[in-house]
Amino acid sequence: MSSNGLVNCIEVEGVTVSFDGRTVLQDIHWSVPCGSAAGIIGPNGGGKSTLLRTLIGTVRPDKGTVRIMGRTGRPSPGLLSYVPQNEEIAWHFPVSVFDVVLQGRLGKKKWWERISPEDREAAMAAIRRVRLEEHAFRPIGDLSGGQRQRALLARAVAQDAQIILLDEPATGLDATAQHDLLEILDEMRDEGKTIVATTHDLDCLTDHFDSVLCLRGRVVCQGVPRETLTPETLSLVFGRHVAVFTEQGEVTMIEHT
Amino acid sequence: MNILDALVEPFQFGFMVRAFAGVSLIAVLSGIVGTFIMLRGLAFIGDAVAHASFGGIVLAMLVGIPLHIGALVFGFGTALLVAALERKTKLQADTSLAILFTGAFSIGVLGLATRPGFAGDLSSLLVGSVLSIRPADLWWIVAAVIVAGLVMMVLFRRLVYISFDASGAEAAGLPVGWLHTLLLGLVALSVVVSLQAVGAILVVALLITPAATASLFTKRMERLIAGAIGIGLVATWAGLYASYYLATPPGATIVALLTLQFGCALIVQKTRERVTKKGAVHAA
Repeated sequence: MSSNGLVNCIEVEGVTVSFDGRTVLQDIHWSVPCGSAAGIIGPNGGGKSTLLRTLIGTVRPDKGTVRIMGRTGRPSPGLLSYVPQNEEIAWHFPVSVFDVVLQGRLGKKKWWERISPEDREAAMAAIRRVRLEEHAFRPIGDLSGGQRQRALLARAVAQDAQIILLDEPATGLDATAQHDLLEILDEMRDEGKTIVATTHDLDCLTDHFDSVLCLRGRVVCQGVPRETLTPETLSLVFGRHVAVFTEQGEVTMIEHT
Repeated sequence: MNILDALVEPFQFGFMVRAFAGVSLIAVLSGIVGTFIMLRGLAFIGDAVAHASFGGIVLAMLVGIPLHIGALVFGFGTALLVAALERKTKLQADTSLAILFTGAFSIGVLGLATRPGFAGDLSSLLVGSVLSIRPADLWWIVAAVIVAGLVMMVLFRRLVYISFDASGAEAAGLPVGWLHTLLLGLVALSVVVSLQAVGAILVVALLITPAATASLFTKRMERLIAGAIGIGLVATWAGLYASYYLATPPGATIVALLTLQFGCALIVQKTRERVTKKGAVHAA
């Protein structure tokens, strides 16, 4: 429960979204309790990113309502932080990690307000929080994939966002980088932040997420990952991909050929 | 004549003083706005704005309103329409650009045909005539530098944010659409006030090339802007001196020097890279 007594920080009721006459999301009912971590899985084109964009307010549903912290309409500035897919970001831009993290302070400011010494302190604290202090003044483009993701998380920390949405944050990261990222997400969740991430990695869902939503244009399954991700539901979600259990009892995917 | 005399001599002419003042201010403007244009891949929009402005200039001439106003309306209008078409239709940005700027350009050519006396102005519009910058043109450039400077002073970090990560900025609550439109407005303004110096065909080089050259040497936005301004100042001043003493067309001389600077910088940077790599291999 959040500090203001809300149970669910995200509530999606009967949301349908279509582009050019093609239905991308159909009748989605879903909620995310405040201070929990929710994973979204599904095949490419299954509507994961569209759902995130609907939460942000950049995609308007044809039907249904989205409530963020109990309110409909565009979320108030600074409430949400979004970490988009890697390729959506202009990494070549000549900015340092510190500059990027400072961006987190802009959402809640009026347009004429400048960056203050407190903002700089908050940005440095956020950088330390994600353990990137050694790289604070390096160009963001020189960092590894995992470090870049952590820098964007530091931006969310500096913003003091209550809800953090991540689109495929683990894609392309090696095991150590994934582990570091998930560890920070765990800590943020434990501090009361609400985390939503789309992912292809089913292993991490069971260990790090409180709930999972399986999307294939519509809701195929949702619930606690360990109970929800069965071979039956997974083959319904991914179609020709088949889920198997490893010897350690973890779920993993193999492609059916 | 000693070097000092040679450097001072052009300044005895009012038109040369205005030309030097004009290109210096344009170099500052290009350094600020051109850096964003280059980093955001908006060069093609700058080019289209320049060509579309030509239609606006001719119409303004025919109607009898200030040419800059006509150029701005057509230039900014094209940039806005391209952004709108990209959002509302399935057309690629470069397709709608090609349709719009050639359309606006054709209006200019048709307009000129109705007044045969204007034909002489055509070449100066296309390749520029920096030596005929009037005081009023200078004021336009000063105004553009002030506007761009003020916008950057207040909104620099926000413009960097929407350029680096538009979706992230939108989620955090920044007015991304407005800021993008403002940036397009600055592009249109910079192109229009620089037209007089180098003309519609060459103006994009003045905006892009100094930033591109500077980008070979730094990964910091502030240094990139400062570097682009410095590089632009060197090329425009050297170009004006060269055209004064060698009687070459000034606009084209400036752009040729900018290109030469870029070529040399590229060679220096690649050589440096190779030396560093070799050093690393030897060290290993």
